[in-house]
Amino acid sequence: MRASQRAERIAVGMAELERWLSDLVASGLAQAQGRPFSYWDAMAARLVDAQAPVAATQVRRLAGVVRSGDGWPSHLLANISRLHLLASGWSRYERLPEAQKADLRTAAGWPWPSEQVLAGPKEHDRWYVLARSETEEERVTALRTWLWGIETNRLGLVLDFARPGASPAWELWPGNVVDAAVARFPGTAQLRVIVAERSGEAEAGGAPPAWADLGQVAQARGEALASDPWTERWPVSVASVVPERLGDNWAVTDRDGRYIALATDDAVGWRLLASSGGRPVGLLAEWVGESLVPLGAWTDGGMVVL
Amino acid sequence: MSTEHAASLWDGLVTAAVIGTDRRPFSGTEATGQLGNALWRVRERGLLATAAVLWAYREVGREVPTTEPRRSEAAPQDDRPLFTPGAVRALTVILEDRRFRPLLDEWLALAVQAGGRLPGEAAPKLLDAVRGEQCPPAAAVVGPLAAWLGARNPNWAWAHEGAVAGWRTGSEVPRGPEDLKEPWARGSDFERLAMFRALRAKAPALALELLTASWGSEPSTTRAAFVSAMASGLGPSDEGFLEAVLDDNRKDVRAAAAALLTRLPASRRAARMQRLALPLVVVAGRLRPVLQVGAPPALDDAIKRDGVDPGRQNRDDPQWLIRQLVAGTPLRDWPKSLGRGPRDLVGLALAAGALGLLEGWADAAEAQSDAAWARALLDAGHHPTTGLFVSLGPDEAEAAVVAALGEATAGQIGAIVASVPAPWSAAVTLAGVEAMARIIGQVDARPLPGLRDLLSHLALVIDPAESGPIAALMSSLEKIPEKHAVLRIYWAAPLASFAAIASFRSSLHKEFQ
Repeated sequence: MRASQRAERIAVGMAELERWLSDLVASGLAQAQGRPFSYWDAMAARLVDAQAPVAATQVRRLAGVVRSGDGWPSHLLANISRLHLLASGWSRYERLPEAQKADLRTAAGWPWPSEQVLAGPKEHDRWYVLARSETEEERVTALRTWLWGIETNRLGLVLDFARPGASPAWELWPGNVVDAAVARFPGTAQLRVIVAERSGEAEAGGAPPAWADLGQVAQARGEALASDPWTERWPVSVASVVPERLGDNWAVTDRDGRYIALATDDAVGWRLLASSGGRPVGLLAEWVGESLVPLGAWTDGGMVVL
Repeated sequence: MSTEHAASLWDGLVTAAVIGTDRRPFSGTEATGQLGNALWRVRERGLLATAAVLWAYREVGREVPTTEPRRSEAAPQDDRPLFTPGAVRALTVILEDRRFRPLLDEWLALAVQAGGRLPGEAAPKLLDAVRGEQCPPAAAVVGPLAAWLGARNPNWAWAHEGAVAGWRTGSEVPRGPEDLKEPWARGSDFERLAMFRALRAKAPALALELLTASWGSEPSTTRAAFVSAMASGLGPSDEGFLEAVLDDNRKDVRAAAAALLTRLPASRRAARMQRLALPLVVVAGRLRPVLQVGAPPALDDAIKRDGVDPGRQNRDDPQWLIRQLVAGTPLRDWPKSLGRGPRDLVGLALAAGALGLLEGWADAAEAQSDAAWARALLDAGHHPTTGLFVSLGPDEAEAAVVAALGEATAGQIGAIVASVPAPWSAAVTLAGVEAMARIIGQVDARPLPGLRDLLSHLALVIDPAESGPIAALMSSLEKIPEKHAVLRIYWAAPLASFAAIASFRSSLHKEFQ
């Protein structure tokens, strides 16, 4: 299928999504809570037919958002307003600059062939592997490896999809530094990369490059969201925070008293707390929504993978 | 535009969305400054477009909330070196793989001996896994962090500061009882017992002083355990306390004291047993001497006070009574009384079929660590026990065990293996493995059910520095002839698990070298 044909099919699906979303708001979100799963799944299925699988997944997830307890209307509105932004963006797709078209394409789920990415310019750096995370998507495991370029201070995300249980690439292991040229996927924020060429072995990298406090992390994340509002996960490397247990919840506090909740289970929480012993540690995490998902800690004993 | 104002605008939008624009048409959101301009531009495009702008505005400008700095105390600094990554990985395997779980005690012992510290992130799994006697060494390798975590997680409350301070007395002798008063008064029964044991090994008199002071208020359920724990560091100065404990109102407490007093030949109890036991045995005849054992005295309150009991079902079995009286009698008194050495006397007792006397001597040889008597009894074919082997002293015990293993049959090897305390020396390891390989290769020796368990026991006690045993045992499989190939299947799984555990132990020991 030619690219223009696919763009047209997606645009048609997105136009339908836009109408569906205005109907949702016209009848009121209070109604939405009573809808059966099939209501959300039907719209998702039409987006799959329109070859926009990532947007389809976002719509399917709305069924979970309305059942997420206190504050669900606010979460739902945040989610559907971004879907609206995506759908209305697609109505003007052909008139937009290339980088924004690329963001819309990625957010819809129209993949980039790796040959095309690799044909673009290469960015050489010594990449510090900050952390890895894994999530179960539909039928596949998404493996994310977050990189920080030591020379340029630019971030990179290596995203792999694997069947559950597949072995990860060990050299991109947290705490290591790899000398590599990467190619960036098109877009405005351009976080996602492919490792094009490697030179030399991975080495232990010492203390990770990091933002000094949570305020700086929030600012960097804000800038990324301003250019690409569909950025779901933002890498966190903060030099010095103290983990804490507050009631049944976990949080970290930085040197100036800024605090943010951790989204994690107790096994990871206790490991993080024990690795710090109440003293500041470097935290490696992903910022998702309102909280951080802890992935690693930099301690006097080195890198701890959580 | 303040953060609070943006938040209230958002709340207004959420309310409007919940109600629905059909019921209340959306007329835009008013704001000042840059945000106001942006919202004005999208008002015609509806609520969702407005929400998208406001959402982005709030996220992009998100500030992380701050709190008053809390003064939370950090765990005390621990300057001991970290264990090697290999040693930590081994612990993870032991905790996660059930096959290797029996090696936890050995890991803890090696770690305590090496004197390092566990990286903090590995502490929670260890603290979750340990039970009973494993707790003190686990707290020791985790260090002061253990108490810090114990104050934060009720599951680890056993690792509080008092307990950890008490357990550390295992490595440092405290200056005096004052140092220990607080942990001794505060600890749980289990912690105090662990503390008492550790202290007995280093400063037995100090431990006894603590126990004597609190004895009146010790619960009856722990008194016997405290008395038994006095076995470590036992000496003549404990006799007075133990003699008094013979009047305790609980039988298990009295029995524990009596058992320890048999190890003190100068005790008043030993003198009383000796007065009862010696007259019972006579050797008559010069040319063909014959040993005779008289009837034991009737059990009266005085004898019962010394922990002598009538045996099962109160049968007053004379052999059982004789065994107990003889066990409490100092062995050095027999040659004096009968004019013959241990070897002669054991031979005569065997000839006379005096089983109670022989068992009593064996008990006494163990309790009094008497090499000459232990040797005489083992040479005469008395069944091997840990105590008899230990009484021989390390070098002679090794030779005796090696000799016994060399001749052991499938029916005997279990008792011998069980009687050799771990860890095994290189020589005993080789002899044990050879004996096992020989028995596996013997086709006419029908595989006894206990032999498979014996293999798992062997894997846990053999000298980890020896690499030969694994190969030697594996090759025993090939010695089984073709027509009995079914036995190879019988042995394959236990041998594989033997090999897995033995090689894991050998790499474990290398990690701590």
